[in-house]
Amino acid sequence: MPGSPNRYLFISLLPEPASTHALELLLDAIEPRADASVVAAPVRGLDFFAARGEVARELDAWWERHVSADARAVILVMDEPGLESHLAGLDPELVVGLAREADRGRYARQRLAHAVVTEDPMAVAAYTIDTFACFRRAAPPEPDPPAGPAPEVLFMPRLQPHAPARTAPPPPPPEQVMTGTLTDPFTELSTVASVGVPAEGERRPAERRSGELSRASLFAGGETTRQLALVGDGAPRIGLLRRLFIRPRRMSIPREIGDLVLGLHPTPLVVVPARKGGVGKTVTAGAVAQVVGYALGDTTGSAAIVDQNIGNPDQWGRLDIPTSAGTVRQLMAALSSGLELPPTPAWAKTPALGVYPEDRSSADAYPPGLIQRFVQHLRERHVFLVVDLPNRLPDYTTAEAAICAAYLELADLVILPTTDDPSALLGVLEYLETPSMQGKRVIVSYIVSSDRQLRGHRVVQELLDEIRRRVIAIETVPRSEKATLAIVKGVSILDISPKLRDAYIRVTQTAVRALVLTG
Amino acid sequence: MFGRRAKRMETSPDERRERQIEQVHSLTYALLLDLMAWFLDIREPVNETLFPDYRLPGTRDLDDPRERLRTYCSPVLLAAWEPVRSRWLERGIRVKPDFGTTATLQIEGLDGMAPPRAVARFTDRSVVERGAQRQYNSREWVLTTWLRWDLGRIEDATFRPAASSPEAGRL
Repeated sequence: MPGSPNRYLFISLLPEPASTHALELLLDAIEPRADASVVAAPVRGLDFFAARGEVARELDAWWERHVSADARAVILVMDEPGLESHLAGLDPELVVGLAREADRGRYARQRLAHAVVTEDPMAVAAYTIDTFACFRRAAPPEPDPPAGPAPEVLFMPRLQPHAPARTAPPPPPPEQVMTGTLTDPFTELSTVASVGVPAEGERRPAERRSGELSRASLFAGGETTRQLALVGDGAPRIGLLRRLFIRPRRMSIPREIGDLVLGLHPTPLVVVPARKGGVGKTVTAGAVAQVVGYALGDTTGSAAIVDQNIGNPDQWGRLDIPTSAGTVRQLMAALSSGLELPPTPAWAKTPALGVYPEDRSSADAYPPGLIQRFVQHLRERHVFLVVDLPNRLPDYTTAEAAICAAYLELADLVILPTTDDPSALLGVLEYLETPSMQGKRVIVSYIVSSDRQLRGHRVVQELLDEIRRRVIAIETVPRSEKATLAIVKGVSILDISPKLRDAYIRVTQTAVRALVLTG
Repeated sequence: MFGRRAKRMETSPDERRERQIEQVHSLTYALLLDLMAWFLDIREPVNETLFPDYRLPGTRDLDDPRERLRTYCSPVLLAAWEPVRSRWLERGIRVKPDFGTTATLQIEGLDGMAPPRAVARFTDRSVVERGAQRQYNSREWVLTTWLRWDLGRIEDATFRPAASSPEAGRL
């Protein structure tokens, strides 16, 4: 029944012979009125996701034949080392059998993954039957749902990188409360009445005056319970508890950023070049990428920051990248020669941020075609790309300038950092004049001096006015020694200063809005 | 010597009250955490590093949040919540819990004049997702728990939106 709002397709990547039995089990359990079917994939396990070349094309074709745009696809698979690294951006839901409880964390980023600790493929099938609404239940079936709003546009599944955008599978039918919204556990629990308190609890007072209640902070941080228990007027207070389920140092990023980024398609490429050094180019690129990484949080999407600042080995250490991490040059070599790709990028401490460092042993440029393939490779794996470029005007006279020109050709947005040094401001104008920048969307990240005379100087203001006329926005960042301290201490600039963090959040917000509005 | 020892072994009223508060605090915190884990079907012990404020040592090590809840909640209460949880799980909704940082807890009945009761007010800022649909919650809730006289167990609990809760204006 094409177009059915409840259509399920369960795809087995389980090994044989268990796969055949598992599919039989699923088929037998399908609710007769449900629109659901099962199919075994031609390639099983990790190979299904990791296939390349001709096999990948065959699988894409197979996928298009079997998985219609309106189906809610569910993949059943047993865990294998590295499987999780192939799941970023995957549309279908996944039921994965894990050998050990400890492996569960590997799938924590996968929003649509159900992790089951079992080595038995049949148990994966049983879990699937217990989980999805299209299988028979002891309880009476739910009534058909009312017609919902038009389906939302989803990202393309990885197996169909060139296919048109799919429509989102409709939500499962039972929605009894708050039509149009997703109910949370508390809303459900609020429907439960008090169960009453046994005998000794019958003395419960019906109502009490507020003065009889002891006021305390449930999630206050910093002070100990003992310190806060009895203070002030004798009213006991309780401290120490921080946010539930949230790591204490997790920073607050406007949700708008993550939401807008997830809605951008295809994956935007943001480049950060500069005419001259010392304007905070690498800091800006790193900070913007980290803000997006935080904003994406535990969603399946991830951002990537790519170091293409070839020939400047001093600047890239601050993201704490392991020395064993694969480099862009290795990845480029693999892409150009068909070699096995490095499995995953290094992951920054920031959630959902892949880091692609560059090899410092060579400052050779890459052919523009290879850069194009590299960017396409990244676009299939991440939802937001930031590239730190060299301090060069784009042209094809030197390796660094050629890198700038090639990335600018592909860029969806350019962030030009500057200070209020007139030569830096002139450098921005010079950059804006280059042929590569024509038609490009640009925002300027402007580090403002603490010296009032300098920042208010007529020359500075005139140059800024001229820049303002040519770009989408100028976002200010306070000049702070903390930026240097971040480099010295080897920590993220977002962690070193709330002012800098807020400033770079604004820069990122403006960048993302610009991508949305002009996309 | 004897007198000094005896004095040291006594518990002052303040110390006793402090322990009572800590116990109620621990139970309320554990209830919120375990309830969320139960609804999300997360079966693993409570990580001491991530949640140092989960202060129920024996309970912390249990994998199953339902079992953890059983150690300090009335079985009648859990039985009342069980169908609610099953119904919710069937909807395939995912939640990334975030309860903000500004929750308050009020306690009454520690003096023995009335049954102990704790009223927690918190903001649910969780992200609720199903498929591609995502919803950002921002809603105040009032959790009222009634405890056994010795503060050893939660006998009853209710969740109410702050606006409709009789406790709302009092917190």
